[in-house]
Formats: sequence, structure tokens, C-alpha cells
Amino acid sequence: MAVSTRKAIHPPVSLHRASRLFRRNLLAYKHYWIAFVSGFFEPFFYLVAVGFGVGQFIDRVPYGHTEITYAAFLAPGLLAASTLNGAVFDGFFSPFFKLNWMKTYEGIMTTPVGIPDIAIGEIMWALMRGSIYGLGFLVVMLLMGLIHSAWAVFAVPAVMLSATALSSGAMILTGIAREISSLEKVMTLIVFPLFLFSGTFFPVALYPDYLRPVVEATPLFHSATLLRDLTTGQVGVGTAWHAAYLVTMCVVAGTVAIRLIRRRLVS
Amino acid sequence: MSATDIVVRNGHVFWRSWRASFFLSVLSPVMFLSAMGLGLGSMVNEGRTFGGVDYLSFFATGILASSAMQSGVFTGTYPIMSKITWQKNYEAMLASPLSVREVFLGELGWAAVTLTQLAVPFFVIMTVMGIFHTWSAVLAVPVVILVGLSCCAPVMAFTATLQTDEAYTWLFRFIVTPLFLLSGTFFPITELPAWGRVIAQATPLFHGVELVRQLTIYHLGISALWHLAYLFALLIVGILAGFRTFEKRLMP
Repeated sequence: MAVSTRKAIHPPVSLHRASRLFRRNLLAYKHYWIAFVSGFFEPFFYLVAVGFGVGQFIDRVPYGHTEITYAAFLAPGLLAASTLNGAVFDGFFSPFFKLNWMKTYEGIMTTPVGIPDIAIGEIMWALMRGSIYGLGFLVVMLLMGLIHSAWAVFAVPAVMLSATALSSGAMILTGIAREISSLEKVMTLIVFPLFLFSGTFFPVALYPDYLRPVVEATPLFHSATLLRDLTTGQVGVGTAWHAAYLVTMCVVAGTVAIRLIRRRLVS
Repeated sequence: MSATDIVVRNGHVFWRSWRASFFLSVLSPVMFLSAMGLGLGSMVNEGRTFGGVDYLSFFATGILASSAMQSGVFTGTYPIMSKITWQKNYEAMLASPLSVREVFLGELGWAAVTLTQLAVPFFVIMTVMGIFHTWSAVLAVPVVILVGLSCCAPVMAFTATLQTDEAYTWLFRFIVTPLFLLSGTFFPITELPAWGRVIAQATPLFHGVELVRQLTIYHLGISALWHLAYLFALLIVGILAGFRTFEKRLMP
């Protein structure tokens, strides 16, 4: 029967099967735990050098109804940027190699684990890694006195939301990219500009009027501003809008990514 | 299809991929300079100068030197490891009359080519941005290449002692990144605590950054000789160490 055949090819997503891929990554990383742990230090070094080093030459930054030190401004931006880095690594680089070079997914697909399971398993893995880094960085911020409000407890789920949204976006690239040179292009043309210009290092108010809407449309801007609202306690309607943007991105980008990857693997 | 067609075809492919990667390698410094130099720099307190210059000039000259360090270190890692361990290019080369030392110096020579390709466009962009006011600024280009080579040679020597690429994670995260951020690139090392200053002054990047700044935005002083001597010494030590480790690894 046609209906049941189609079901057999595209079974619904199963968290149980997706978690198999998660466990595969965990096992693969056991030999490479240094890379895992050391990922935490990158934003930390930036916080020390730029936040405190360069921050000494900067007056307090107006934010919401208050003024904050430059380090308090930068830290949530770096937190958001670290979820971007994690998403690009776990949602794009690593699946890219598994898809095109190591043919890991082709092997997995001979098992009951299907394409949506693979996509969701990779996103779960990215989410776990991103959350651990995020939590670690929040503790550092707390110890350095850069958290100004109890709202910051919601920064933990916000980090997870940001990691999921950005990894879903990165998985779209996995579905599109075919050549090794795409990695460099994605880094230079997407990741690096997002990292530098999304209101991470300086407020978007500094942009000319015609550029600001562009910046305000990027996912990292919403992620950084959401986290900054929470750690500084400047929570308002805007905060909810940033969260809604990221939730929408999870759903839309996730759906598109699964479609694209399915097309790659089935063809 | 004759042999010349192949040559033309390969030349075409090379030119096309070179053009693409050249464009990307120019774009990154431009973005970094605009974000940090202009964006962040505009937040730096009014009237605050860095040895008499604005933040953009201070930062850009630091980045010029430190991007050469990063490129030099990278050239000494994965590409070399690949040729020693994974693809074994050197085994084939050494079956010819080439000596191990020639192979090492040849690799370093290629590093100089990639560094030139990095330094020249960067320098031109900074000139267009109006950062330089003296002719001696041109000398920053060879100095930057020297900085890259001084960092490349010891790393190449180190690579020959490795069996896997695991150590590179440490090298990049715990040596290259802190050097990049704390050697006076982003802010003057006088802002560091006393112990941090001592460490920073011992690093090659600090000497590179100082030398570049003296040639471009500050006055050239007698200390330039000392910075230059440090960089040459490191290069020579790196080459000698590289001769040893390459010979140990590649000689049967």
C-alpha cells in the first residue's frame, strides 16, 4: 500500500532514535575532550582583553533606563557569540564532514535512525554543548560582578534557545554546502560579520539609520540583546520580541534544514 | 588536448580560486578594523589618545602584526603535519637529491609568500584609511613578514615532534589567542598588572607590534634595534630547532 510505504521511508521523528546520534557524538568526543573543555576559554579571553582591557578607556554605556560598564555590556554579547560559534561548529562544520567526507550519515541511515532523527540528534548535541559553555560563562560573569539582576536566571534557558535557533540555521548551510571552500566563505561572509556587527561589541545605536534595520534583523542581534536584557535586568516588551524571533527561527530553520538534508541524502 | 591546454586550464583554476580566497582574506581585516577601530573606537573616551594617536591607528597597527603571527603559526601547523604524517609528501621529496634542511627552508620560503600576500593588501587598506603619515611606514611590510616567520619556524619545528594534531588545540587556545589579545594589540600593555607586563614583554608579538608602531605611527627609537634583534634571534633559533626535529623525524 502506497501510504504505508511512504510511512516506512519517512517515519516520524523519534527522540529515542535521535538520542542515538547524540550518544555517538559523545563517544566520539571522549578522545577529544580537550577541544571540548578549551572552547570555554575563548570568550573568557575576549572578556578580559576587550571588556576590561579596552573597557578602561570607555565611559559607562547607556542601556535601557540605566548605564552599565562596558564589560557588563560586552559580556552578554560574548555569551551570545559563543552560542553562535558552537552552532557553526556543531551544526555546520562537523555535520559537513560527516555528510561529505566521512559518509557517517550514509552509514547511520542503513539503521532505523532516519534523516529527521539525525538532524534533531545533531541539534540536541549542539544544544548540550552550548548550554554547558553558556552556564560556565554565566558563572564567570557572576563572579566578576557583571550580573545586575535576578532576571539572569532566565539567561540559562535563553542560551539554550539561542543555541537551538542558531544551530538550526547552521544546519541549513549543511544542507546547501558541497565544497570544502564553502567553510571559509561561511566563516568570512556570515559568521565573522555577525560576530563583529550584531551589537556584540558596540551598541546598534552607533550605526547610521539606514544600517540599523539590517543589523536588527540578524539572529545574533536578537540573541545578544535578549541575554543583555536579562543580565542587566532591563526586561520589557522588546525582550519578549527577541525571544519570539528566536523561537520562530528554531521552527522555520529547523524545518528547512531537515528538508534540505533529506534531499541531499535521498538523491 | 595538448599539454599546454592542461597548463592553461590549471592556471585558470588557480587564478579563480586564488581570486576568491584573496578577496576573502582582504575582507576579514577590513571588517575587523571597521568593527573594532571605528565602532568600538568611537566609544573610547573623547580626548583619550594612545601615545598621541587615536584608537583606530593604535588598534590597526597592532592587528597588522598579530594577523601575521596568526598566519605564521597556522602555516607551521596543519599544512606541515599533513605533509609529514598524512600525505607523506616529504618522503617523496627526500627520495630526490633534496636535503631535509632544504625542505625546511623551502617551506619557510612559502610561508614568506603567504605572509606577503596577507601583509601587502592589509597595508594598502590602512594607507587608504589614512593611518600612516610617514614614509618609513612601508618598512612595516617586511617587519610584519619577519614577525610571521619568527612565529612560523619554531611552530614548524614543534610540528615535527608531534604524532597527532591534538596539541594544536592547546597551542591556539592557550598561546595564540591570549598573545593576540594581550600583547598590546587591543590596549597598551601598561594597563596590565606588573606580572602581566613582564610576560607580555617576553612574547614575540609584543616586539612585533612595538616595532610596527614605531615605524608607522610613533617615533622610531633605539629600542627598535632590540625588537628587531629579538625577532631575528627567534627566527634563527626556530630554524636551528627545525633542522634538528625535521632531521630526527624524516631521516631513516
